[in-house]
Amino acid sequence: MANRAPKPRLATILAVAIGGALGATARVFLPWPTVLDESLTTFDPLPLAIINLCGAALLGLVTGYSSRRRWPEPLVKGVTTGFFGAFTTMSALAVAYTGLTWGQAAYAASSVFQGILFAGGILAAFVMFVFVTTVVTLWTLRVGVRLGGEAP
Amino acid sequence: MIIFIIAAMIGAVARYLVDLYLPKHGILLINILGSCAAGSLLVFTVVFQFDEHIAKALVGGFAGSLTTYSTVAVVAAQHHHNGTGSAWKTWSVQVGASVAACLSGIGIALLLIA
Repeated sequence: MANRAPKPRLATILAVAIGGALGATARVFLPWPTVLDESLTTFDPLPLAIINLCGAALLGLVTGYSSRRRWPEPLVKGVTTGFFGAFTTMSALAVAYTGLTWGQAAYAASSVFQGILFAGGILAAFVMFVFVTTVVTLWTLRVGVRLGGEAP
Repeated sequence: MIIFIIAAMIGAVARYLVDLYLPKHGILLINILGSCAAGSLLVFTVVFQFDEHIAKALVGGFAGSLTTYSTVAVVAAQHHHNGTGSAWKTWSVQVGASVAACLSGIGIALLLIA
């Protein structure tokens, strides 16, 4: 027998929409610290790093905890998919990486070697950031599972 | 602010629905589409000098809510925790595809404008 397509519940969709609006508003409108000039904040890696790291760590904690608890689906999806999903962002990371690499290639590099060095440095920083995110998220996920106790 | 909130809601709900119907590759697809859209929208907002609020709603609200970093982090951590896959592979595919999509979006927008 063929699998039936999952049907989204209206309450869950509403919860995701509300969580998404709150998460995106917190990401864009809270006064996050910056390192670049005002005109270049689209490519600023500092607020993006803080937001993505905190969001991933907290989502790990909530995911681990909620996996051991019987929470209503709209609440779980509203917090995880809605709030934390919209709070953190991959597109801004991609834009920041592209913008930083492009900026260095356009203005700072006076030779091919220097250009490769800059691009490699930015890539190394991103890889290090992803490594830290994974380690922190893994830790918070385990803490969440432990706090949640026995599965229901 | 209202436009921003509506754009963020649409982005978050679209991500939820795509992930619901495509549970294996939904997040990857949505991160690729969102990053491509962000790259294109960024070029359009700069070239056509969109209103600041509209630009914030489209890039920060819609594309920002559509894509997600934390879900990828948790999936990568779960792969490592449960031994079901490679965290590095997850990250490489997600970040690599998103950056490539962003570059493609910028390229497409520049081609359309030229």
